[in-house]
Amino acid sequence: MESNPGAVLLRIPAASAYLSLARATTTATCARLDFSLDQLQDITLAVDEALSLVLLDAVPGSELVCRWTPQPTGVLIDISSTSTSGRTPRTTTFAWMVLTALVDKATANIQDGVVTLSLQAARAQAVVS
Amino acid sequence: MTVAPRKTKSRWTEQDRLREHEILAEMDGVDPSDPRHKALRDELVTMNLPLVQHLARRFRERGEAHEDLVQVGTVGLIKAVDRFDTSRGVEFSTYATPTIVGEIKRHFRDRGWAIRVPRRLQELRIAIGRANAELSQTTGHSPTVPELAKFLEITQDEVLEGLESAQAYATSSLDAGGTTDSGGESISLAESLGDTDEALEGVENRESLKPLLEALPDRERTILLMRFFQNKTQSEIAEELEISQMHVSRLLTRTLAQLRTGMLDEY
Repeated sequence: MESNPGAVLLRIPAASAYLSLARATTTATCARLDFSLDQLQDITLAVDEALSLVLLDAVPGSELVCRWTPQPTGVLIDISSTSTSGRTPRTTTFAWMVLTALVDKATANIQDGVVTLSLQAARAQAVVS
Repeated sequence: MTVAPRKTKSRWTEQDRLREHEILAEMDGVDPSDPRHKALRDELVTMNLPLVQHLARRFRERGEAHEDLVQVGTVGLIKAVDRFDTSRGVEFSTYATPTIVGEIKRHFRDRGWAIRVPRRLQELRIAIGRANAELSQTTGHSPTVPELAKFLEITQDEVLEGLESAQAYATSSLDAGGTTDSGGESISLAESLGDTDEALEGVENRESLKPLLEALPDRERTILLMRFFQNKTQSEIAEELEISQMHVSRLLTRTLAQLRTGMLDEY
């Protein structure tokens, strides 16, 4: 992984008990990137959705790796784990529809058995101060 | 255990009391498989709903929505109706009260939310809710955490703490303004179900999703449709339904979690 000075990285066991850590980190990280409350809560919901999608297909006993990368316009969030099915989540499900409604862009990739969901959210508007 | 004052005098009259005795007496002689038994049982449940409302209000500010408590309390009421024995010679309310309260308490135990929210967090959450509404109004956009911190003269960490507590424990204060709704929903049930059909075109698991959506309380379903099918922001939804944006967020979080659980196999 390329280094990015503002990036936050979290590795947690692939188990639902740990998802709240990723959730809390999302809120705390994105709050500092000047997202509005509306967006902040949408992004957190999207992360919830993405985490459960990845978790459902994660190899038992594996890890979830979450990375929040600040971008000039917003944030990029990557969530990955070793996939049982070896496939990316289907994009015709309700879960995927929710995901894409909550952030600007959601993509799924698989490489060497590791599935990664990437969420991109841009700040709604420049805050006039 | 004290007997709950069964609603104010204006609501529970001597006539109600006599009618209740009549129902109980008649139920005694009717076979449970007889449709008449069900009609009597329904009437008894309906006339005692104010008792459930009253008992649920005792648990306000404990982190659960009033309507949820009424729902679980009603389960207790139905159990009480089914188990009540007229030969005991006690008033039905005397018998039903502990059953209803027991059901509500069990709900708290199940949720692990029997703890009171510390006062400081309650105040923080309320202050953030007000500041959120005020800033949204004056600036025309949903505020950021730094803006909220500056406005309230607190740190960003404190704002985050308050937001988190709002998610974890929605006290009944968050419901303020939303309690008069059901009649005033902007989308009727039939209308929203029609929208659901249309909106779910192309969603592969819609067949298992539909019953789950239909089972949602009206307000939860309305919020879900507004957010995902009409693309409204949480603030816009909050304004339209006259509830706080933080409450919209909490309801959405809860509803999506419920749908996820319900559709586990479909993912």
